[in-house]
Amino acid sequence: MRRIFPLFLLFVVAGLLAGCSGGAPAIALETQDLDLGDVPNGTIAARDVAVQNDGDGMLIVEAISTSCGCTAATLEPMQIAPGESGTLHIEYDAGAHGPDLTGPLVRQVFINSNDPARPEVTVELAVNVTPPQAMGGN
Amino acid sequence: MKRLLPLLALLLLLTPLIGACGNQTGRAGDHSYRLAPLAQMPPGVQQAPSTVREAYQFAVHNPDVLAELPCYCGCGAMGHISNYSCYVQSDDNGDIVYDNHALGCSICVDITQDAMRMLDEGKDVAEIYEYVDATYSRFGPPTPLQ
Repeated sequence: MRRIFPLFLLFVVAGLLAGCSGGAPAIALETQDLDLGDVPNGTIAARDVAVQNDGDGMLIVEAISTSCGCTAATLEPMQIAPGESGTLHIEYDAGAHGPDLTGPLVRQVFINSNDPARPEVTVELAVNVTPPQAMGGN
Repeated sequence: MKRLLPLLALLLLLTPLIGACGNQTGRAGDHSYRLAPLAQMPPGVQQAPSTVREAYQFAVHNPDVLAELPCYCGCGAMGHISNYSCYVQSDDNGDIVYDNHALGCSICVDITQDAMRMLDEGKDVAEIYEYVDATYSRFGPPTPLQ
């Protein structure tokens, strides 16, 4: 029993230290609603959104996905220290559904992270796809 | 007790095997619908996330349901006529030509997953249509359903 007690104490102390080693991360986005306005079919619209860590622990972004193959998103960096920020780069390809698609659309970007309060946040893009631009002649 | 141990070990070994065999038949657990076998699907579908795989399996086995539901991702401009079109280009008496569109379209897959969930809840296709239209019409124009 005497041998086991120091080990038990070690586990308790390690557990306490692990709990005190950092607070929780808190993801904060510059905006969650992006209006891309008119985007001609056949073109790509790109926007950057700042992603900040307002918490006390390291923000680790585990996955970024989108609602459509027409929308791509990347975050740099994928781990953000407390008080630091990264850039979410979003690209919407207005020609992905063929040259005939026009009109208002909504697309979404999903960010999954270790923020315990908001494990998934969404950025919503509003776009109005207009007819393809005529190629310039000479 | 020693006599029982081999029996218990055998039982523990066989239980998951029997369970796995049950899945091979296309049964979807305790769901009210059936799924097509995954083995016949293209590699891209087989390697997709489980929600996408299940949506393809559901589409192939339940074309009558998804053909009644529009898709709102904008794929009508590509010639799609329903949510079913996002998974299957053509089905000539079981000779299926798959469409990989839904592999990268969570709007398409979410509509199908909602249909699967609502069938389990005992809803009919008309009720599912109503829900899908109310939920997804903000994303884009509906496919024409004809």
